Amino acid sequence: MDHGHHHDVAVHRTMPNRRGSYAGIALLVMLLLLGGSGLGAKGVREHDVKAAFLLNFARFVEWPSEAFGASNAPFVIGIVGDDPFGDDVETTILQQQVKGRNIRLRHGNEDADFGDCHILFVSRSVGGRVEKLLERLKGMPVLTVGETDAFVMKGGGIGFFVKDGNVRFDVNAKVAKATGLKLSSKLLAVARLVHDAP
Amino acid sequence: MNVPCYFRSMPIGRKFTLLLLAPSITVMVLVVAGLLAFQLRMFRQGFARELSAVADIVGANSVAAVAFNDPKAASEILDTLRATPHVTGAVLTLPDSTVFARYGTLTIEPSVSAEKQYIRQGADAVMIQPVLLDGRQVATLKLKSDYYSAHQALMRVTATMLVIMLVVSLGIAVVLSNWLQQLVSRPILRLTQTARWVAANNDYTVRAAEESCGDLGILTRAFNQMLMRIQDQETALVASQKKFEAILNSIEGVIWEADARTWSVTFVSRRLESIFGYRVEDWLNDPQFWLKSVFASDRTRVTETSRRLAEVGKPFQLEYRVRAKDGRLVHVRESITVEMEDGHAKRLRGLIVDVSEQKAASEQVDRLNRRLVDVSRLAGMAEVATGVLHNVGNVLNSVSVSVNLMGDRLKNTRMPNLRRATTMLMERNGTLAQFLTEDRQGKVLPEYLARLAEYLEAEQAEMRSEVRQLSQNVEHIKEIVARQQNYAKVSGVFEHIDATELVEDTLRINGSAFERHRIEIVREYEPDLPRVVVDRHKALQILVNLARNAKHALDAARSEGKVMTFRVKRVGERVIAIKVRDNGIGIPASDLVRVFQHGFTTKKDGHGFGLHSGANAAREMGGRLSGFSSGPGLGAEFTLELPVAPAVPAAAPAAAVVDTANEAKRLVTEAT
Repeated sequence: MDHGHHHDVAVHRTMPNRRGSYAGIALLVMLLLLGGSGLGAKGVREHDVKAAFLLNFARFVEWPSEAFGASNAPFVIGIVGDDPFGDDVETTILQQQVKGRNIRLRHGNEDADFGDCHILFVSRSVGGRVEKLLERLKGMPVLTVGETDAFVMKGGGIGFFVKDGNVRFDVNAKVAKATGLKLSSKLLAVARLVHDAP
Repeated sequence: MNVPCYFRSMPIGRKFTLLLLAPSITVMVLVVAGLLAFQLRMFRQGFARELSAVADIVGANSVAAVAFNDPKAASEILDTLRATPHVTGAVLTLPDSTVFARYGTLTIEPSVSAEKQYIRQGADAVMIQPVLLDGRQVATLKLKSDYYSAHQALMRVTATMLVIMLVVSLGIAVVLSNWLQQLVSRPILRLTQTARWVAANNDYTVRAAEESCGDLGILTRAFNQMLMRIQDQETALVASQKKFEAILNSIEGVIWEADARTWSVTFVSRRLESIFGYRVEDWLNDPQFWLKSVFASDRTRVTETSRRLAEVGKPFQLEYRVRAKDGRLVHVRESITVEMEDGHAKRLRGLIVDVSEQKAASEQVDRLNRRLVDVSRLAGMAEVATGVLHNVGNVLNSVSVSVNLMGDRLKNTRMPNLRRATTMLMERNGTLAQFLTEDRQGKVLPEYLARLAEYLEAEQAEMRSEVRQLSQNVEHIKEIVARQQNYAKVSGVFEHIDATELVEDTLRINGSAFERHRIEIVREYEPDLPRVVVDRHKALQILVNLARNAKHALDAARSEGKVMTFRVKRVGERVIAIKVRDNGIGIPASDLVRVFQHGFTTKKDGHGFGLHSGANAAREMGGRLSGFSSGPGLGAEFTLELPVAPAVPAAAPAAAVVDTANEAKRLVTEAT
């Protein structure tokens, strides 16, 4: 996990200039990401949008306090399977903060322990092994985000889908609740809710 | 302060209502205006706050939509603005100025702003609100609100509410103030009504309904006490007036009061009715009334006299006759006092007294007096006559003897013998010588005639002697009568007579003697002399005596140019002098001091008590007898001074002033 370790470096928050420039880049990215009404039309990559959404999920969901070891503990985003985002995006993500916390990314396969993650992105590459993973994470305060159609039906928290060229998502409120997370109604308002999931 | 008239003339009740309403209305209007202003301010603040809150909510709600790039959701969220009618439009703008979502039909300029802004643009209010996600601005929300309409609507509602409130509270205020007003003004109104009643009817028996307490209670009680006092005073006044009128009307006379200038009468006592039968109103209504009822022949005198004397300003008296209503002629005496002001007569007050009875009584007294005088005179004369007759009777015996003797002598006279002798001689007229010498009878006739003559001479001597005797007896009788006259004093009756009348009586008594002695009588009477009060007979006796003395003095002095002067003049305030002057022998100074002594006389047949008793009699009458002579041959003058009679008869009051004495006397004279 050299790669992942490499990225497990805290951003130098004490340098405003650098941070400001990063912030400017992030803003630009966000603008690019969010500016268009369609992915294709703007030429925005699907996973760029998803990366932005991941961060935004973190902003609309509340984790139980025991999910963080310390008050300044970082917000951990885990990525299972092949990393679809690319280095540039990940760099941008790492420059962000969520609710005043720094962000860390962790990469791993479906067997790895993602118990300390807050959000776990399950990439398409995980495939059928996802059920086992979800079974393992069941009851843990981890918001699982998948990108396959059946992800939420299999017990996942949030599942991306693309409709009319726009990235949308399903929310399995039951799962989210069971893991002790609190989903903002605002998030639910823009999501396609799934009620009949197990 | 200048209070409008109409306010002042308002009834006190309305004033109170106004008084109560004015402040409450003012306060209400002020409160309403304040409320309105406050409401406006609150509305402005509230509007901004509400818009801000709406922007907050909508912004917050739309964060997720922006964050997850869901314009549809954003539109739906903006659609919830429908619940806020005054928000007419909204636009959600991304930082790159692209419009993310819109609401409303209006086209709103998209804005990007990192700060919250509230802007009033004409009739609209605009709220610009940054939409933040995790402390980062993701969009700008711009809300546009129809501020004016909302304001208008609110104002309408508020204004309506306030107007209703105002009207309702005004109504309540009116009702309350009316009630309070009555509470306050009713006692005052009652007081006013009572006062008005008292003023209109002069009825001091009414009382204002008492208030139990407070200023009005005190006022009412004080008012009632005042009324009570006035009533008491009025009662006392009425009683006093009644008493006064009773006293006035009990006076046996008519009391009146008149304006001195117009003679219009201001007061007449009730006695006018009982004495004269006229009504008081008759005189009060007609200033000329009284003058009209004055007896016609007295009218001019009364008018002129009273006008003249009223100007002098001193009290005066009048006597005149008045025609009463039933036609009686009433003698009245009127005493008038004059009230002066600034030297002019201002008011006259008079008392008219019916003196008819006094008048009648005084006339009666006068008549009786005169009769008494006559009777006593007669009685005196009878007494005198008795004395005289007794004395005269004695003398008359010898007179009678003498007369009889003379009668006998005359009857037996030898006169017929003489006639016979003379007839015989006449018959022998041609042969008288022959007869005397030849006839027998004729030869003795001369001797007879001589003897007859002797006889007749003797008879004549005898008769003359007898006549002398008779003459002496008659003289004696005269003397007796004269003496009796001297002593027979019918005295004590004093009369008011003119001094000139006394003189004329004296002249009448002595008239024939003066004529016989060729004495010229001169009368010098001062005009308009008052009467004197004397015993007529005494005075007459003195004057007769003086006249006789003068006659003697004249006889003794000369045979021609005898003048006797009677002068009557006033020598003092209350003295009239009768002077008897002659140009006779006069009186030597030595005698002059003795003429009044008893027994002094210069006449051979005088008694010597004429002047003496005259002086005494004059003193008795309150007068004086005095004599004066420049000396022997220069004549003499004797003066009898007599007191003037009182101006007014005894019945007249002493108040009559000296100034008016003559006037009063004249009136009395005329009235008698």
